[in-house]
Amino acid sequence: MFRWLKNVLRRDIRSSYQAPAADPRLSERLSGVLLDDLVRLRELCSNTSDLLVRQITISGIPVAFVMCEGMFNLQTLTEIVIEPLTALQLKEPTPQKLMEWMDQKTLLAGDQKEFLTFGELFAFIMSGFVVLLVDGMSKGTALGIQGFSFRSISEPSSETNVRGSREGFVEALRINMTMIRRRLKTPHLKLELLQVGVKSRTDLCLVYRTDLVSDQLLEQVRYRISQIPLDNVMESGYLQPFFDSRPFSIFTGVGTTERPDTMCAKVSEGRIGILVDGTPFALILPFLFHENFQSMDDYANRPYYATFIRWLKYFSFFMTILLPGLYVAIATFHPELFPDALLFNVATSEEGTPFPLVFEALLIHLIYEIMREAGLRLPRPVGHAVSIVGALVIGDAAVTAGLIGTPMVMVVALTAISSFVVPSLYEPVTVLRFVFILLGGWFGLFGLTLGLAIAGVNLCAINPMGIPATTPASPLSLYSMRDTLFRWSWRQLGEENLVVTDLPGSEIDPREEDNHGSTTN
Amino acid sequence: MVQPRIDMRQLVALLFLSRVFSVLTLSPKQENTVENGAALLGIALSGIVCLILVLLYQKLLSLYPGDNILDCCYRMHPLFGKFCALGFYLLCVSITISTVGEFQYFLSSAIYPYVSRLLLIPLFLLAVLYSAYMGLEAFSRLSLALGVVVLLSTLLVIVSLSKDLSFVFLLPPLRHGWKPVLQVAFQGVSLNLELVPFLLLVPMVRGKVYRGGIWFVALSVGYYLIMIFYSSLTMGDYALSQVFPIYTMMASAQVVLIQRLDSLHMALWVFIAFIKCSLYLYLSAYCASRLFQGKHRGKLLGASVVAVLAGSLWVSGDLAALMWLHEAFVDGIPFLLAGVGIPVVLLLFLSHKKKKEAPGL
Amino acid sequence: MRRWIILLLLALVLPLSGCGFSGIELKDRLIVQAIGVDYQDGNYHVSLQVFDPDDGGGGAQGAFDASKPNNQVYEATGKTMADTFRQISLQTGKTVFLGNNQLIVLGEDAVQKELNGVISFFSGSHETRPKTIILACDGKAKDIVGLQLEQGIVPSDAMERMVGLAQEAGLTPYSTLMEVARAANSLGETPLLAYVGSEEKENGEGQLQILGGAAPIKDGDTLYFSQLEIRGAEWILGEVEQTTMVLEEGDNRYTAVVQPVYHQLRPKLEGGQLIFTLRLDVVCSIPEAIYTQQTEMEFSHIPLLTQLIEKEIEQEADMAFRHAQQDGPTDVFRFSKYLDRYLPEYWKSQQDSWPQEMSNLQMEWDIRVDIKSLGLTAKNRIESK
Repeated sequence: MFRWLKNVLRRDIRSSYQAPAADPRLSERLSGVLLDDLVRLRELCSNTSDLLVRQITISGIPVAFVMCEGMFNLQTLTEIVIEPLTALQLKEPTPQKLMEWMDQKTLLAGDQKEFLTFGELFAFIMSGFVVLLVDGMSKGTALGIQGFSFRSISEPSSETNVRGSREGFVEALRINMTMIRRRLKTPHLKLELLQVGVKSRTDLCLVYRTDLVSDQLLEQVRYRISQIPLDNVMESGYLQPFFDSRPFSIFTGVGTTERPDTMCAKVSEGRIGILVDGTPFALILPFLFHENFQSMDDYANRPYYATFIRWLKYFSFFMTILLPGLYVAIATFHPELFPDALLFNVATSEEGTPFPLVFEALLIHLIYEIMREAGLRLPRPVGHAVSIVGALVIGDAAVTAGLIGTPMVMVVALTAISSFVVPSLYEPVTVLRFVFILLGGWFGLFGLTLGLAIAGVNLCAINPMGIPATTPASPLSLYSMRDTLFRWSWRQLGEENLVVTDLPGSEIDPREEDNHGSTTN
Repeated sequence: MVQPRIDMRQLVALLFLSRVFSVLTLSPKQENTVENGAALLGIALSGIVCLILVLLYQKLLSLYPGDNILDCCYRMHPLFGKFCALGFYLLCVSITISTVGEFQYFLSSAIYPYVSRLLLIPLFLLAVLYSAYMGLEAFSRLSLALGVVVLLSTLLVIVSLSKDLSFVFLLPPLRHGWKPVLQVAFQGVSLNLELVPFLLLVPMVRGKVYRGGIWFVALSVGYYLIMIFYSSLTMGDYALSQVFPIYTMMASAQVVLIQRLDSLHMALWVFIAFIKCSLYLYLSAYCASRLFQGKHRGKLLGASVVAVLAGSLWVSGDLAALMWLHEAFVDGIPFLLAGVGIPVVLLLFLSHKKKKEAPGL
Repeated sequence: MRRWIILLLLALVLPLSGCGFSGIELKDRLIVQAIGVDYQDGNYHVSLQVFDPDDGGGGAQGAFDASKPNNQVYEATGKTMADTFRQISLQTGKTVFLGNNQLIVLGEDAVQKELNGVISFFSGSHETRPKTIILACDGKAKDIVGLQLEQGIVPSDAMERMVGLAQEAGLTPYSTLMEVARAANSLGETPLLAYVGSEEKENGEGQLQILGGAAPIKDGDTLYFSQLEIRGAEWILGEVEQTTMVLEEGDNRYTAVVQPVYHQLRPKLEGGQLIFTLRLDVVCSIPEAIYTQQTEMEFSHIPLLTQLIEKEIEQEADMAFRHAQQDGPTDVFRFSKYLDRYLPEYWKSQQDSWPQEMSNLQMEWDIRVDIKSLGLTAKNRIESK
């Protein structure tokens, strides 16, 4: 049906566009002749200024240390690597004996790997490893003594909680891995490293529990990662569309989190987490719609309060998308729905305004979005000026000047505040809000309900990784609803662990029991 | 193409909402008016008949599990299968046209008297096309949530109207004999065309599908009874003078600050019409694709929408045509053919065939 | 790229172009709060009480000033109701909006000559609420609609509340559009409308008066019921929610707050005589007792009070019944419905001559009173002598 539209769009793609492709030179192997390898190394990286090469002789054998400036720990290199090596006296030294001594008779670093190609060499030194090349050996050794600077662990900016951990992920992948490992001290927790991005070769880590995750799900994720055709992956958001079953949908089936405790909780439900080097935002697969309304606070608070807050979130979600459109629709097409006193107030306020209500609503919400975006991008010292301008512009000047009515200010304030109650849905909510304003202004309640129906179908059509996004509400499982509309006490929740592939409507086969806790690779 | 799979509860919600559409647009001026007592008894009887039909369907479709009625028709004879596929296609398209026509008639009478049908109908069909295109699972999941909302809203309305009930308006059911009761019972069965989608959807349902059929009949009959009970006992003879008495009843309901609930009715009704049209449009594309060995479903969906658009623009512009179409369903011939005749013939033929196929014969 | 730009521009222009269902802004609507309909010489004379925010304070910044009248009254005359509304729209430049209308007041002429026409117009309007209150008035409806009462945001607010309280107390009937239309379309039944009037206060301002009820009878006449007669009718109809009665016994006076809890009206034929039996159970409290010779209520007074209340209710109901029977006859008590339900054969034979056959009807009263409370100062004076 929409294939013709896709074909029309494809015609717009420039002919000069080239798909990402790996550089074939990087798959060249080391020659074994140290000087030749060093020359070739400099050629491949165009003699970049941050490349450090230090040549020494160990037991008469020339060796070279290759590293990137600022990426390694100099003290560790000196004390643990260079000092023992320079003190080494081998009997009948050969390159092979030196390699053998480094592999088997000593421990130069906790993480020590061998490699054969220039591509791997670059990957290691650009990840902070120090690489050791031995003349006469066509393989090198990479020593994990990273020492680059990274942001310290702090409270996550996008997911604050009243109770619970104050730790959030950081940009360094290895640190994030340790945060998860500390929280789930089970041998079933597996952290699987992959790479993505043809040029950037960004490190990824799949986090899952081998006793819970479905093999089918795992294979799907691995396959999709392998098919990602990107040059550079700077953020986890780059990867999201490749996991979405319907990339054009308003809602997404891929979750994000900055919190290691949230990640551990999700992984303990049979999901797969993806940590991406260079960003504190990790991905969670699959991500169902009702999870947008869950937070770690829910599980720390008493059940009745947590249930109340859940309902508040659902109400806020509907209020933020529907309130402006509903106000415009009712005031324009169905004023009989207003109680009399409210109608009089609204009519009085709108009497002197020059614009139609739909235009007023669009204008004021657009101004709010501009201010919100400006507030994000402004330097901090200037940031508070935005709130003053906002209050003046919207709250006072616009109303006094008669551009908008007072009820509209109330509407935009309520809408704005309630949109922050469910921050993970901010993107769809913002777009839907404008759509509903237009529908309500053009077609009244009829348009609004039709728009809601379309949005509902759009949501219900999503099957993240083969699991319906609206489960367990639809398909319904009353037992699984114990953590959806309500939050039962831990005494009941702890009785049976929810596994996401067991939810009704799931097309994913559960984990095969005869693997004895390990998955097939 | 991978067969879609829906839950038993989703099936119940789909069929229930589809049936509720007819209930909410119930108009005494369209059908011969009977007294409320007779109507209540007649509807209850129609429920019993529908339950018997569900059991009949179970007997038929259990002969070859995994088959729906079209598969059974093809088993009988490929030509018969094609004929039935075409018949079901025409039935689904007609129901969609009738639904859209009534929908437009209601909106232009009660809510938007000055809006052109040339704007209303294409807009609505665009949304329905999108829903049908997204697939059975999508709108059936939505229907479950919507079903709950409809039930809760109805509860709200009947609670707010409870103090307005006047039992003097409730007349004994048999005071004019059995004729009006049976008349209503017949209409109740002949207008319960949702049993046709049930026959088509059976293999696509997970869970105890026939239990779902029974639940659907029970819920829809119960809802129908409640609506008639409340509308006649709160409004009395006033209901007879209204084109849309259920809508008027909701307009007279008051809850706290909301002085009228007719807009709630309208919003729910738009949702319900959306679900019903999505279902029948989807099934029409399905039936049409059976004529082409299951292929070209997308194009056939488009063709069905064009047919529905043309048909609904025609009936919405000509009230006599809309009434004629409605009367055609009330007369019972479509249901007698699709919901009774074909299943009975298939049951007899396929039972006989199955006995022949059984080992030892 | 050009295509996307064009689409984007269209999308932006559309909100300004009025595309869509042609909604009407609130500032272009005439928000009607009360409608008065008079009928004379074949023409309808309609007066509309309309919310007028310009008459209030605040403007675009705040709410209106509730202490000001906040209303305007517009009038027009036409051959049909729709014609009069059209004229008012042209007068004001705004579209008449009936969705929040609270009251429909019918003048004497309109009640007597054009009730069905007026009711059918409003019943057919999709904006009008079915539970809009319909009032019959003494004189011209425009006088009632034009009353400038100070309580409430607009005068119709105050009027609606006054009528509502009177309806709860049974002093005026529940005459909503739905109920009046139902009764008007029912065979043999006559609608009973709330009846109001206006009086001038000492300071020259008008005041709404609740006069009771009015029922249009044949030959263009109207039967009027006083407040007590209406309460009597409401006892028979079972529509009293809670009312206050004043009882006198000698020089002693009591106030009884009465709440019906059970109502049953049944017809029967005894030897060819049609009899309606009213069974009414009420619970009461006596918050006030004025004695000449003592100050406190006594529990031993309960039987006497019970008798007084029973007698009072019976008298009122009988008064209403006799008034409807003899001065009509007019069936404002829905007797026709009860006959249709419980004596269908009898009803079939009498329906064409009903309500004239009401002249032969008898009533039986079965009133049961249960006094639950005597207030806080009652003492048990059963003395052991």
